[in-house]
Amino acid sequence: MIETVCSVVENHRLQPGYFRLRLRVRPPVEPAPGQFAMVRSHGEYEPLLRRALVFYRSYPGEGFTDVDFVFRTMGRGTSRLSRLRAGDWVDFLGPLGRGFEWRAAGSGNEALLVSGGVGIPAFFLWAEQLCARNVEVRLFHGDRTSDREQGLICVNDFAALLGSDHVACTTEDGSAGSKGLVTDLIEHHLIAADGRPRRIFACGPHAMMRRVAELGSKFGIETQVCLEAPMACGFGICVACVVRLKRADSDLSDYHRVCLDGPVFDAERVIWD
Amino acid sequence: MDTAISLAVRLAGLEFKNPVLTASGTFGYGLEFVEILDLSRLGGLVTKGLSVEPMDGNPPPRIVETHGGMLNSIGLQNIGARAFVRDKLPVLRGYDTHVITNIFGFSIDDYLEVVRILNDGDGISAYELNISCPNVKKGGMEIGHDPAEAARLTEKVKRIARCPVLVKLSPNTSSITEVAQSVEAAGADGLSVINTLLGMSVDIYRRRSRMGTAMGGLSGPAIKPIALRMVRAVAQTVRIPVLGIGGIASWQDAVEFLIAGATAIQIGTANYYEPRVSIHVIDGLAAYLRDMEMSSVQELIGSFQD
Repeated sequence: MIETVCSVVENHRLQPGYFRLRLRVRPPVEPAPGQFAMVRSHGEYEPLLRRALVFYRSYPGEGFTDVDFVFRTMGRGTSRLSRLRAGDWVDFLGPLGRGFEWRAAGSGNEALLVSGGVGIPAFFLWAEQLCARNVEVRLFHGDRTSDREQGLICVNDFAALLGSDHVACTTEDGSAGSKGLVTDLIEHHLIAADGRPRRIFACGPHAMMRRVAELGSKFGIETQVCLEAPMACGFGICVACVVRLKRADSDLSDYHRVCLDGPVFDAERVIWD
Repeated sequence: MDTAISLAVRLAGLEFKNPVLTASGTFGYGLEFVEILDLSRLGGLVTKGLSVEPMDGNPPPRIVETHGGMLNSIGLQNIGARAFVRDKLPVLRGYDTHVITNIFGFSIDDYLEVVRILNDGDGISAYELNISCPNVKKGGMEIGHDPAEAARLTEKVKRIARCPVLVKLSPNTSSITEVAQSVEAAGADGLSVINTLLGMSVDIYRRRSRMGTAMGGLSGPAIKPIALRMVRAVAQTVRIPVLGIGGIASWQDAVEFLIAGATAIQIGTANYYEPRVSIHVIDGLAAYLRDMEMSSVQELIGSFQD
């Protein structure tokens, strides 16, 4: 984790409401897949808190790292970030949190990535890393709707990396991909699949991840979820961003910090209320 | 830094290298910050509130951002006093700063039990009694609003405490100066002024609180004017030192509190969004004194001109 001021290389509007922000971070950082940073326009304190953005991509340079974030404008903070321009300064704290894990104890050589809406950026670094390990990676992505001109965010990058036959999309209004929910898409895949061991990674809306966790449990597949929660600090201090997890050894449960203990957790431990 | 300028203050019988501390609940157990700043530069740090047993805290959502501040309803989630003494304190001893432990209980006996546990730890400079957390249903809050109960608690803690005792006052009372006088008479060594202000935020579509509880504690720059007023009122009322708290986010803010009568200050919410703020405040304070041709921070304290 470093705390530094970095410069905006570019801030590109992908489609209405969605932006891709590239920062040049010195000294270099090595974000792990699923990790995030707390960022804000340098020296601006309205709104007060930094915003948590998951790393989308990273590009090592000489003495720096260029990192990309893809975000949706939700409120005051992300609206301010959307107005950043090349050359502006950004306060950066990161990389933060514990990302996705490929555990040696697990078996199988196939990863199913399930994303909903603006959850998709959390997966690109992970997909890259898994491909480098010769894991077979499939992305299932869903959204409410798609932009008439631009389609679904980030999907083209994943298709280029994984091959378009390994990327399946769905929208609730049928404007891109099949019509329906991504949880139905993944369920059909699991039913039709040959029973080979595989793993699931999910990032998206609460209800989507809850359903994916149920499917993982039903099909006996190790499932990790990347959660989101309101957080003030991003490094474990405020204890605001908690999620309730079952203990491994008993029926008891405790609050854990999404920012420090996560944001990625074993789905079977999460209590989804 | 200019060595001719002294930032040192004396408070509750302790020497502080500078008057800049970090406030309870906004600095974890200190060790979370070691990658970000040198703890030894701080005048002191105040830990997250410690209870006898570990506490789970309130249901999420636990924060709501507001204009110039935030509401929190954490509910004092903490690792418990024993785990602090066992796991955190030995590491904290490696830093040259005052460690002040914030203490919380649901009854006077609870507070005394925490004090007994912490008395066994080596490396604690002072205790800060939290009699003002707005986010738990029973316990500290009623004590904080009742001058007699606050005095009873202070007096009992003082009897067994192995180090100086500070009392953190609630602003959610019409009688903060009464509580201040009362705990001073009971033997408190200093007063931390103020804790968060009770507030609400309503989700207009669900017609419910935007937090897991109906009310939370408001903190951040928005509360600074109120905190300043209360620091001045308390400092004018008591002889024991006051630690000013409430929305401090810059060295200028810190200077305002010192002028208003605080002997030291604690930085709270700003630690969340500006993790190195405490270091900036220390450096800025020294530069200000140099610019103002003052040799000691003592010249500032309580220098407010009516």
